[in-house]
Amino acid sequence: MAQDSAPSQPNLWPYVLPTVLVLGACTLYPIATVLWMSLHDWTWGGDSVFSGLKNFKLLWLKGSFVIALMNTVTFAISAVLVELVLGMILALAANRVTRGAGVFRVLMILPLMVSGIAVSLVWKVLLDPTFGVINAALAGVGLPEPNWLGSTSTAMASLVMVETWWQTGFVFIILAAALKSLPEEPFEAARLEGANGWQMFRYLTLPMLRPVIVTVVVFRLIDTLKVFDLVFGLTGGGPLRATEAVQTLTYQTAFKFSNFGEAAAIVVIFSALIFAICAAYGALDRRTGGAE
Amino acid sequence: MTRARRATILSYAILILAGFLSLFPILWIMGISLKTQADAFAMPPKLIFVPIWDHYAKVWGDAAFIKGFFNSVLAALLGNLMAFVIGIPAAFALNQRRVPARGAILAWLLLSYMLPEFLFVIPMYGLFQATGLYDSVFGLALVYQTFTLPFTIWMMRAFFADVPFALYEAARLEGAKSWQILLRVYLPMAAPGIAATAILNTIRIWNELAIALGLTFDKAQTVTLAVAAYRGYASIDWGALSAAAITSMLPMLIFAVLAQRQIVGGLSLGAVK
Amino acid sequence: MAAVEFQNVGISFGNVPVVKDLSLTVNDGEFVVLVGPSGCGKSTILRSIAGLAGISSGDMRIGGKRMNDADPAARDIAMVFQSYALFPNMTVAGNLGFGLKIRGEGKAEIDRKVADVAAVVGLSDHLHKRPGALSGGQRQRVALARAILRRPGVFLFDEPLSNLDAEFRTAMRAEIVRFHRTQGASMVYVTHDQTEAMTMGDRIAVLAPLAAGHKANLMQYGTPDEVYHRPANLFVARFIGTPRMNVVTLPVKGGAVRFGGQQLALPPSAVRLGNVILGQRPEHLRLSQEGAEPGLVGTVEHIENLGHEMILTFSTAIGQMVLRDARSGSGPMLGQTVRLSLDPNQVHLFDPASEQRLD
Ligand SMILES: Nc1ncnc2c1ncn2[C@@H]1O[C@H](COP(=O)(O)OP(=O)(O)OP(=O)(O)O)[C@@H](O)[C@H]1O
Ligand SMILES: [Mg+2]
Repeated sequence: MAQDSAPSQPNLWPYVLPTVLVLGACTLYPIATVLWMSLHDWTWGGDSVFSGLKNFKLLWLKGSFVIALMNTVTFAISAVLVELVLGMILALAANRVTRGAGVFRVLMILPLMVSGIAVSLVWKVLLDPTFGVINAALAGVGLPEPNWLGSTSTAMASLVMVETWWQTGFVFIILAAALKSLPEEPFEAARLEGANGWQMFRYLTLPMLRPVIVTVVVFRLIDTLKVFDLVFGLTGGGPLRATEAVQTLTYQTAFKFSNFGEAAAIVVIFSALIFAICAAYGALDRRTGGAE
Repeated sequence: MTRARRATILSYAILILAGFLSLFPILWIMGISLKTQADAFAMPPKLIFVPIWDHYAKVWGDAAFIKGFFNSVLAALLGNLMAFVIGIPAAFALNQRRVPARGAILAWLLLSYMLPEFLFVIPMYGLFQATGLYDSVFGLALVYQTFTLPFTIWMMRAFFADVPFALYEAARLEGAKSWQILLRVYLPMAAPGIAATAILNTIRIWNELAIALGLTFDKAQTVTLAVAAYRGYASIDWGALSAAAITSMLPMLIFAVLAQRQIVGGLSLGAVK
Repeated sequence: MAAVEFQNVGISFGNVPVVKDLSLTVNDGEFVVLVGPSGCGKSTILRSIAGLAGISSGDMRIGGKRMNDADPAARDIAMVFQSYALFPNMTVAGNLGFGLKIRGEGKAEIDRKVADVAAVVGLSDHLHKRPGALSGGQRQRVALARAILRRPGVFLFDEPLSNLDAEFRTAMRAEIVRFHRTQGASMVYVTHDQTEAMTMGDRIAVLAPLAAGHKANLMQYGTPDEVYHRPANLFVARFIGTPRMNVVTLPVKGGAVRFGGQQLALPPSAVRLGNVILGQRPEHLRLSQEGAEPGLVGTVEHIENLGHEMILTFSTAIGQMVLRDARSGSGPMLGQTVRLSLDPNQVHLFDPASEQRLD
């Protein structure tokens, strides 16, 4: 604990001032501007007419925002669930082995190093319905060959699969580190009581990992809600809006259709959602005595 | 065979499978980047082939791609520089408990890290057009501070917290000013932390797409945008597309192998305490 | 002239007072030990001299100058921390020269001074090493050398030996005392170890925590002999000395108290009281020959044989009594009943209400 109770305390405000200024410029200004824009028929440089809640009403009426929001939430929840389960299984497995753990860790962080757009290109080639290696393999063993990204019924699942390949390593790394930091004695005591592996996981590991799991889930949830690169690179929101996400819709609305007022309205709603998740997490974290 | 042994063998099987699945897509695309067009489209896929370098020659001869590559290098350097110059003193001060509004600043940092990219992109698009920062690497690096600065402060604060406070007091007794204590005691002790933070910042900046897409047009385009430009080749020229993807990811993959410890340690620092 | 002088000093953290109404003077060249149980404010008082803890009320002077709010570097003090607080990223030479460098001295000058002080504490061969490569004792020496280099008016030590093993602690204790004699500097030394307090200090300040309901921290300030042989109050009587002083509350009857069959006349100051607290150190309590003296009947409950002496614990009608017997060997057996008697010249009396000493 860094507590300086000295009488002649040096004033450390100047140390924080640049951060406050940069953060103010980079976040407070955008927040204020976006709020303002969302209430106007906005054109850059021209006359922007105050339009009240019209942009928000339009979002509701057009329906595309609602679809994008539903898609995004579906994507985020599915991806986080799969990543959590896989990450946990891998972390438990890695915790059991001694040899080769380092190599495995490198292999697991490789996908994390790749940009979303490169991931998209990689999987576009792998999932190509005619020439892709995956469908070739499926054909080889006589299984049906889905039109992964091209069909409304499989596009979302394909996105989740790619996201899972990309980011499970993150969940794994954190859960593995948390597992390693658990004390040994409770497990030894439980073994003496005759507990089996599942019981130890259910009654010891899981409760002790809870705060870490909550943190990981919140971080992954927010990150997947903000999904942009994969949709942009793999499906462009299609087919038939089956994979349109909030952030790709924002991009389209603003930069393709130059409808900045409406895009701002989307951003306002979406940011409020993210803020709510952060606030809930902060409250939860404080209650459970987490960091700060 | 005992239960424990079975579980260990199962664990190895799972890890080997997962490791293979992790690596395979990258290896496969690397293969395609070295195949002729005919080999790439061959059915069934060819595992044995004569590698060619034509696709890499094409990508590396693409002025737009090279420009994007070096713009990203510059953005990573600038972004890190800003984050450290601004963030290290802040981390030092926020590590102590006598900065007014300390809690609020920390919460604000976290929020800034979490908020969606287009919240920053849309207003900055107008502001940057007006101020000439649009389509500039400097402007990009500035907006990247919405995530690099919080992350840098968060990490550095954790590393500074490991420095015993008695060292701070001992230095004060010797007459050192706060900035001298920061530079001569805290920074050298947190050097491994700076490396880990810089690596993670670089990865994040290198791979960023949404902000670059919104705030650049031509001369400041980044490597991710250059790669995205090959998206249109998906149905025709897999070789060039793959070579572009591999070229863009290679520096970070090398990072992952060389700096595995720092990356893993840095990623798990915040969550596991 | 006084090296350090506290005048009615109070120190609070937030609104929790930790030190109250402290008045204490450290004379020039004096070695003063602050001793007391954990949490009594020893470190806080020391740190207030160094300028690392703020003083909320009263005055603190160093070398005659009021220093309540002075910058730590301007106080003419040097401090040796319990953890040594060596900079792990610098060599021993770098650690020693740090302050000189900060104050802008030339490199040649720094090197010379560092070499000189290293020779004094026997670190000349280790100047190029980092603290991590040194033993605990060597680190301790570096910390000491860093303090010496400052040529301060007052040395401050916060439990500097508590991280060393027992053998080395004794050696370092002697070394610090020798250092004090040769330097003639004033020293304030914090410890919770009585042996250190008794053997090192010219004077001892015994402190009590405010939390225990005391109105001020300072319980007694005197030489080791005074503190041991004439404890000013019950707190000091029980804190100093191992095993602890035997303490019983006895009713006063006819200007005397009875310890079993033993009658003990009280001084005038105690006669008017209804009860009096009587204390006697274990080494003064005596085993009386059967039938010889009219003492207190006790049964041996526990025997600790330390070889050169025995610590006997008795249960008696008025509570437990501990006796320290230097004549080891042929003592009483466990469970045996004996008579205990007081050495009337070594009795300490305290007022039960104020817990102050009665003479
Ligand atoms: N910075 C601080 N903020 C709040 N309370 C403090 C602070 N420093 C010390 N205290 C409190 O002041 C009291 C005295 O602390 P101090 O460290 O002076 O005790 P001490 O006598 O040195 O004890 P020990 O023998 O354990 O070192 C304790 O109750 C402690 O909790
Ligand atoms: Mg202390």
